[in-house]
Amino acid sequence: MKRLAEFIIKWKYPVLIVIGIITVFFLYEIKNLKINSDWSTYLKKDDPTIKLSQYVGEKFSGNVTAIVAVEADNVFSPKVLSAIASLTRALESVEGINSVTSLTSIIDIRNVDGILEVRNLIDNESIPEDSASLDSLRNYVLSKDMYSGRIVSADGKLTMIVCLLDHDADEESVARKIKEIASKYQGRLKIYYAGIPMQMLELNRIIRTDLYRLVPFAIIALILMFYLNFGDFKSVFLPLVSVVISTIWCIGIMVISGVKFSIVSNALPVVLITVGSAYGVHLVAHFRELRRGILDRKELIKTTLMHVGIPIFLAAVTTIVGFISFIGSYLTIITEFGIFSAIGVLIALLISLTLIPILLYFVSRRTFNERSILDKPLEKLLLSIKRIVLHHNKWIIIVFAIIILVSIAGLPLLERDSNIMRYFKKNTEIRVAENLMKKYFGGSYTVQILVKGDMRDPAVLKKIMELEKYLNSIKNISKAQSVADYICEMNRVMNGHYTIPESRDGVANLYFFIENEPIMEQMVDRDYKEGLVQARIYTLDTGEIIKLVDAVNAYIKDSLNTRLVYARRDIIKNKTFLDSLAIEQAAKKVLYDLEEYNYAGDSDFVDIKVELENGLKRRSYPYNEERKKKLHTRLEDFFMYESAIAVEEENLFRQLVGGFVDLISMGTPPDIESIWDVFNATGADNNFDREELKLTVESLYDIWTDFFNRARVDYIAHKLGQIYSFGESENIYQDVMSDLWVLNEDVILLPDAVARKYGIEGRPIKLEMEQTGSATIFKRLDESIVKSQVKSLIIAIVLVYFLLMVQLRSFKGGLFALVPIVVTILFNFAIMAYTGTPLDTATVMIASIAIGIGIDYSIHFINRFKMEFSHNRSVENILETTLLTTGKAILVNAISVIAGFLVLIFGELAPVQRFGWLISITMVVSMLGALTVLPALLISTRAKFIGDFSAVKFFNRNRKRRDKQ
Amino acid sequence: MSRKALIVVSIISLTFSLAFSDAKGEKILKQVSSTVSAPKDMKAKLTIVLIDRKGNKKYRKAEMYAKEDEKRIIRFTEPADQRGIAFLSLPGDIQYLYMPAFKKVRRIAPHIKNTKFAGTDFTYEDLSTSKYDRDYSADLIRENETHWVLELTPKPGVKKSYSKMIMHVRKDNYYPDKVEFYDKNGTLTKVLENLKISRQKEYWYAEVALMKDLKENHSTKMILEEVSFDSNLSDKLFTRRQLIRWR
Repeated sequence: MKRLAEFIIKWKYPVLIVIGIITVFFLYEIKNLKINSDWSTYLKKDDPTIKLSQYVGEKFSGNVTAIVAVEADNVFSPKVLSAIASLTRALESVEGINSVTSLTSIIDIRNVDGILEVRNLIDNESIPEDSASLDSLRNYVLSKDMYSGRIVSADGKLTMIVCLLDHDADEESVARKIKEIASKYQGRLKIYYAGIPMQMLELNRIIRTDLYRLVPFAIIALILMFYLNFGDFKSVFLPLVSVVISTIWCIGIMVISGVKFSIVSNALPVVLITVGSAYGVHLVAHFRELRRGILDRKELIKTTLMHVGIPIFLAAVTTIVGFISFIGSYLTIITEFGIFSAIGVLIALLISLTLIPILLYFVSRRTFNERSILDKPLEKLLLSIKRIVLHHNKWIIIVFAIIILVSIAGLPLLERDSNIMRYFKKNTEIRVAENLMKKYFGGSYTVQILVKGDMRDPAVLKKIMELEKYLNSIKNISKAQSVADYICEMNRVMNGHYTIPESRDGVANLYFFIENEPIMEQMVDRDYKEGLVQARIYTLDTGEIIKLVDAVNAYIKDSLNTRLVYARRDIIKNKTFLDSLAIEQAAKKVLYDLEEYNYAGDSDFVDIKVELENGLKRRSYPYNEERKKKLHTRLEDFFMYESAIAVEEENLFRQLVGGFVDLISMGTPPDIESIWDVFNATGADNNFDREELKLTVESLYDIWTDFFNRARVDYIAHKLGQIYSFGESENIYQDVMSDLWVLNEDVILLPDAVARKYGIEGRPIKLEMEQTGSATIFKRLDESIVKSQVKSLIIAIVLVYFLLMVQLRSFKGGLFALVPIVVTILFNFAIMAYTGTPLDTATVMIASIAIGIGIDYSIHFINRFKMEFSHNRSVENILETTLLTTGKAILVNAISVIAGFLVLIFGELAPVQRFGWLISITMVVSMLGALTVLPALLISTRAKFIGDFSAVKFFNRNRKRRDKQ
Repeated sequence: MSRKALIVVSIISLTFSLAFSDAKGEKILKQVSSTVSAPKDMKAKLTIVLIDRKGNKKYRKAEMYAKEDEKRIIRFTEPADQRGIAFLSLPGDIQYLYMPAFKKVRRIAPHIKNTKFAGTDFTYEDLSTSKYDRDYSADLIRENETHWVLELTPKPGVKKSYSKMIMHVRKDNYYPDKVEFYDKNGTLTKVLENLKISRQKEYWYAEVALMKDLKENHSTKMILEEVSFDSNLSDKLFTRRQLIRWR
């Protein structure tokens, strides 16, 4: 320290110039400050959850969506629709946007009276104008599960324009562009923004404004505190300049090394300014103390540095240790915060030990205000602390012991909050949009399940449909969707029932409709080897999210990763068992749908099953007039245009149509013989080419099967409709009908183990599933917060203990010095637990920072206490001097630090606010601990590492009568 | 000459030249239409290459039969699990789709004209229009040694999904080798390039055509092979019965 002092005084001008140049350089760099608001990067890149999410992002052409939501009294008006159309078109041309899905760009395939219509749901170029077609459009869109609650709200008031970003797009700049484009429509339309890129934009703004607002506040708070303490501006100015310079350096280094600001590091400047100022304050305070006795200014600077240089150095080192304990955290932003706070403190130390002495050298001839306004009240307070410690040291220990116990009891109550959404205040744009998303679309966060298997295999798709039904049944999950839904929808259009076709060719044929639609890229990979199931999450509550993530994982493990086989039902030996299995599966689906539509009442599975069994047992199913008419039309059409044989003679034509209407409408199962019989009866069998006739018979068999299946399912659906009172025109009827379709199928999916038990052979299905999506990332963040907490606490405590032990040369001394800080940490957790303040990305750091800063108090206190012990006669005197000198410095430092940190409660993000007030309370406790329980322990145990207590008196004169201790 | 007279003269000559160029445009287009739709019928194997924005390619193969401009069957032969899917187009905007997996024929609504055909960048309209002079009027907007450049706009009362088309017509054979399509907002959305124009008998045809969708950055290449013209295809070929029977 002596040499340092000599060096800086000798080289004062070059040192000043160097510091000046570096500062200007870094100040210049700060304008390049970048902000990282993408919370999905807060986990380490090699984290398996992140890796999977990245993989899905690449495979499914980006899984990052930005949502522009448009609100209107009625979305289905020409004005709104045309605005959506032009907005959609404008967004489509933005670089970095892969595809845009909106009412005017989504593909719609429907069957209108047997005629297929394949087109955009709403044609960009011919938006309906008249109210009749608008109404029918509205009714159609809102009635379809594929659109209602997905792209447009069920009440038709809110609609989404979903922009899927390219995997390698710069999310922030795309988001900015989206906002720029969409805001031109603001006014004409009410517009909201949701999705991660839009949130990033908002976060970015908040981080920036916080930065510009909080730093000046923190500086003002410190100026005020220093002035109250020192009473003159010279003493205020010196520590302040040094921390401002070191903060500039630190952020400059951050910018140069390419590290971006995050929601955590935006507290960094305030933390640095607050923490770093302590070193300057100690120097200035000691300098003022000494300048009364030493006149030579070189000597004065040297002595000041020699006296307080080492304690300041130690204090900085412990603080650095506190920050270093974050390095290697599971969260990258905390690691970054740790690294740069540590660097910042180091710089503050260096600047304080060089710049301040030089500046003090220059101002040492000036006069200083000797006493400040604060001196009197502080001394009074410290003297009463002295009295309490002397007389009631056992009680202090007991009180602190109670605090420890109560705190430990509260630990299990500690909550966690990893959901970034909750970091925003309730009235922010982002929260408002999120609430809308929740209300109308089931939330904007997703559960995703990556399915590895042949996406053209009907068995795989069937299993996916099952998974979706399960997902929708979990609390807080809704709107599960995948390519399987599109296949079902296409099947409905083509064949009239919302099911996965039985054959691979059937699936492939249906893919033909949608194969090259942009929406496919989000659902299935190019090779049809992987698919993605997505569902929405309603809740933002971390605990609930973890629950649902676990539930989905359990389901995947239990039911989906068991081996499956696809078995034929039409093989006689398996029939009875497989039929009962089919009934079971269909009944399950029906029950689920009844519950969905709130029809279930007190219905139970067995009732439904019985109904299905009975329905299936029938020999024939009734044909009403309508169905007969349909059959008639179909057969006429068939013989006229499709049949392999061309029936040109009108009489025969009518005979055949009539004959087959009669045959099929008996309602019995199809059979080839009866078809031949009809031909034989008309004598037609001799008039046609045998081969062509055979083909015709086969076609008629197919037609019959179609009608029979439909009649059978309709019959059972009607029966169920009678029981649960729903009619054919209702949506539920269609759903139940599709549920029952399983009964018509010749194939069935069953677990391998079951198949083997009953000796059923089938085709094994290869299928794997993995969960990903924002829910899993939240869960991972949550786990990481807890792990980070435990890890950094252990590191901090161990390192600090080691430092203390070395410095005090005593195992026990190290432990004693830790006591106030351990109490502080526990107290911090207790407050969080009892006030329901969660551990989050910022509050997770409090404990370690508290160690780093708070331990200084113990060090300073023990040092002074020990020093005083060597030249004082009584414990009371030792304590009094320690308290009035070092104790006062601790008190002043704590008050300033608190004033600085409290500024953070004006931050916009919840974690920063929580961080602000919690660390302030922590500082109070830490300071009180050092000033009360620490001396109480030292005195009551007569600690040997301090000195020989038997060699000194306890009290000063005339106090014996009160001495009962 | 007085100033006034000068103006009058230039207006007259301008009008004249406009009228002249108009007439010339129409004439060229007429020639184009008859060149493109010259054969009575046509039979060919078709390879369709779908190229996405990242350059990934997907192949489809089909066979195609066409007669009298408006009768057409396109039947897919590859990929294997979509083999047999077929489209039948008949006069009067009647279209049928056959799906072999379900052995079902479905009528397709006529208004699908501006939707894409089977995931390609060709719309049904793009595929069906060859009698350009019937639906469009043409202006010759410029020419050079090898090409005429025509601007086609739909004739009054004709509903088309493009506001205009810019067609580059080869002078040597009246075959267009490039067509630019503009949407209703007047923005260029698609470009068709006939990369290879070949001749068989007296007929010219585009052996390789590339349609680029500029908005979606997606393109489709159509390659014709084993082309034969005027082989007297029967009308019976273009029926639903035939659509189903193919194995």
